[in-house]
Amino acid sequence: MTAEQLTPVRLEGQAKQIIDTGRTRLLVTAAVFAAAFFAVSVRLAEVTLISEAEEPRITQAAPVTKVQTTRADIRDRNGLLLATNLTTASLYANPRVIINPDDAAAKLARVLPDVSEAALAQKLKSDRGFVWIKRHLTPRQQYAVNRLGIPGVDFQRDERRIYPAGPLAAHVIGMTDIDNKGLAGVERYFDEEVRSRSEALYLSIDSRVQHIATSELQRAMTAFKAIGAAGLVLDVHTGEIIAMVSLPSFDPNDPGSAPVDVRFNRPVLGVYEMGSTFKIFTTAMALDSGVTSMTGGYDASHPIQISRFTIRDYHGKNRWLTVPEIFIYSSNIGSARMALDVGGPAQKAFLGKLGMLQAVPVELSEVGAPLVPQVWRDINTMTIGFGHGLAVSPLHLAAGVAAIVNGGIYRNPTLLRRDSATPPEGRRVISAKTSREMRRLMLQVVESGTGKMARADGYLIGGKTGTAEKTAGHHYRQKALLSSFIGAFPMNDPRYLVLAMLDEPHGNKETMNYATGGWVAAPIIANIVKRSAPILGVAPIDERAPDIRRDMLVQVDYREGARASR
Amino acid sequence: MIRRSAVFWTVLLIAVATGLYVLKNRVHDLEDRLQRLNREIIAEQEAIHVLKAEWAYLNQPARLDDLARRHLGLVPESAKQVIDLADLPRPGEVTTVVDAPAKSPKKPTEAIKPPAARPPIPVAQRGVQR
Repeated sequence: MTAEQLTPVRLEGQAKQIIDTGRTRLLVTAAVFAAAFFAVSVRLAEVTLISEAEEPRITQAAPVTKVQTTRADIRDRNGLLLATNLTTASLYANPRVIINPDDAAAKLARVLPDVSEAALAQKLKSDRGFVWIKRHLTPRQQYAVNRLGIPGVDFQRDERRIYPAGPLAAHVIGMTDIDNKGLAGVERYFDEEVRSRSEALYLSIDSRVQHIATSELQRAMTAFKAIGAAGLVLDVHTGEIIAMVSLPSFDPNDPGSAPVDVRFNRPVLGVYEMGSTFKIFTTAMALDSGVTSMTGGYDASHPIQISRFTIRDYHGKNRWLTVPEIFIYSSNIGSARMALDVGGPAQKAFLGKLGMLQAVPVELSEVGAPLVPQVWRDINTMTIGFGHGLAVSPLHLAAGVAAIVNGGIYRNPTLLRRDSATPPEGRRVISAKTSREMRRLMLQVVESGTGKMARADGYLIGGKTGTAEKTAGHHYRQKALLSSFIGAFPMNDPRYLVLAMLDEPHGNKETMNYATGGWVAAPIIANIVKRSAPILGVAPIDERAPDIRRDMLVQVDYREGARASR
Repeated sequence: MIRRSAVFWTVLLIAVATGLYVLKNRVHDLEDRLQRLNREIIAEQEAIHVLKAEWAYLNQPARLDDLARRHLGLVPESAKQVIDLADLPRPGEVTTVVDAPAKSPKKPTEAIKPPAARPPIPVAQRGVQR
C-alpha cells in the first residue's frame, strides 16, 4: 500500500552515483558480518557437537593414591616385616601467633609428660615462625593436645620408622634418625635405595633361625658369664647370611637407651685372631697345594722355638702326628710346620683368594678391615697357620670356611635374598677333592676330636674348635679367651654353616672350669642345628648308613707307613 | 508466529538450563562421594599398614617361642621325630611279613618325595631291591 503511494524517485547524475556507492558499501559490510557470524556458528557447532573439545567423553575415576611412605619396608626372606614406616602426627607451633606462651607451655607440658615446661615456654617466646614442640605424638597425646585448643599450635603429618621385631637382628637392620635417614646397618647401606623404591627390600635373614641363634648364644653367654657373643648362619652354596647375631643387642626403636659399644656389630665389624679355626685354611691349603696328603704327617714332638716365641700344643701328644691327627687334635706345632712347608707367599696368596686380606664386601656400612701383618716373615706364616697374627672378622672366617666345604667355590656373603636355583658366580679356591677331604676331617673333629660337644644326632655336624687368647697391647692375656666353633651340616653334602663365638667366657662346674671352644661354643652349634634344621628344610639322615660311613672314612691313626711316605 | 516460536525457545532454554544445573549438581555430589571414598580407602590402607606392623610385632619369634613353651608345652622337635615318607607303610600293605632290612641310605633331598612317585614294589621283593 505504501509502495503504491510512493512515487519512485528517479535520481540522475551525481546523486544516483552517491546512493549506489552507499548501497555497495552496505552490501560489503553485511557480507563481512555474515561471514563472521557464519564462522562463529561453524566453530560453535564444531566445539559442541563434533570435536571432543577439552573434557574427555569418558570420565575416569580419580586414581586412589596408595599410602606413600618415605622409606620402603624391610622384610626377612619369608616376608616378615622387620622395618616399616608408620604415620604419626608431630606437634609444632608458630610463636608469633601464640597469645600467652607461659599458659600454653604449662598446658602442653601437662599432656606431654616428656616435654619440659620451662624449655617449652622459652621456645614459645622466641621470635620465630616455626618451632617443633614434639615429634611423633601418640594418638592419645594428639587428642589431648587438640582438646586444649591453643591457637598457634598445629600438627603436621609425619612418619616414624618402626622395627616390629625389636632387638632381633638389630645390628643387621640398623636404625634411622628422627628424620628417617639411615644411621646404621642395612638402613644406612641401602639408604638411597630404600628411599626411592616403593616395594619392600627382602633380606636373606630368616627371623626364626635368627631367633634360635640369638637365644642359644644368649643362654651360653649367661651361663659362662661372657662379655659378648657373635653368631652366624650361612647358606654355603649361595653365600646368603641366614642369621647374624651380635650380643648384647639393643632395641632399634629406642637406640638412645643402649650404650654405643652395644651397637657394635661383632660378626662384621669386630676383627679377632680367631685361633685354631684357622687350621681349616692351613690344612686345606697344604692338601690342595700337594705339599702333603691325608697320609702325610709332621713332627710335633717338641715345642718350636722361634725368635722370642715358643709354639706349644694345647692338647699335646708329643710325637709325630699325621695330617688328620694334627687337625683333629688341633696341634699348633703341626699346623705351624704345615704352613711353613707351604711357604709364606703361597699362604698369603691363598688367604687372599679366600678374601681374608681385605674387608668383606657385605651390604653393611660398617665392616671391619682385617689386621694383616706388614711383613710376612716365617714367624707370621707359622702363627697364622694356627690362627694368630692375622685378625679377621667372624664373617671373613665363615665365608672362607663355606668355600672350603661347599666344593671349593668362594662366594661373597650377602644380606640380600638370592635365588637359590642360580647361585652367583664364585671363584674356585680349592679343588673339589680337597673340599671332600676337609669335610671328612671336620666331621672327625666332632666324632673323635676336640669338638665332640657339637654332635647332634642325625645332622652329621662337622667343624673346628677355636680358642684364642685376646691381646692386650703387645702380649696375650691368658685368662681372656675368645672361644669359638665353626661347623657345617650335614657333612656328607653341607648346606649350612654355623659359627658361634663367645667373648671372654668363664668355665663353670658343668664344663669343669674349661672355657675353650670345644667346651663352651661347640654345644651352642649342636643346639642351633637341632632347632633350626627342621626350619631350614634339612632332613635328618642315618649317620650309620654304610655309604655315608664309607664317604666319610678317614685313616686317622699314626702308622709307620705314614711316616715313611714323608 | 514469531511469538509462538519465542515461547518455544524460551521454554526449551529454561528446560535445558535446569537440566544442566541438576546434572552438574549431581556430578558434583558424585565427585564429593568419590573423594570421600578415596580418603576412606587411604585411611583403611593406613589402618591395614598399622595392623600389619602389629601383626609382625605379635609374631616376633621370641614371643611365639615363649607362648608355645608356656601355653602349649611344645619343645623343639628332635631328629628321631622326623621320618621319611617312603619308610611309612602304604595303605593296605602288610608290613609284618618282611624282616626289617638294613636301614637304607637316603639323601636328604629325597626325604619328602611322596611314595606314589615310585613304581609299586611287591612287598616280598623289597628287601632284595633295596
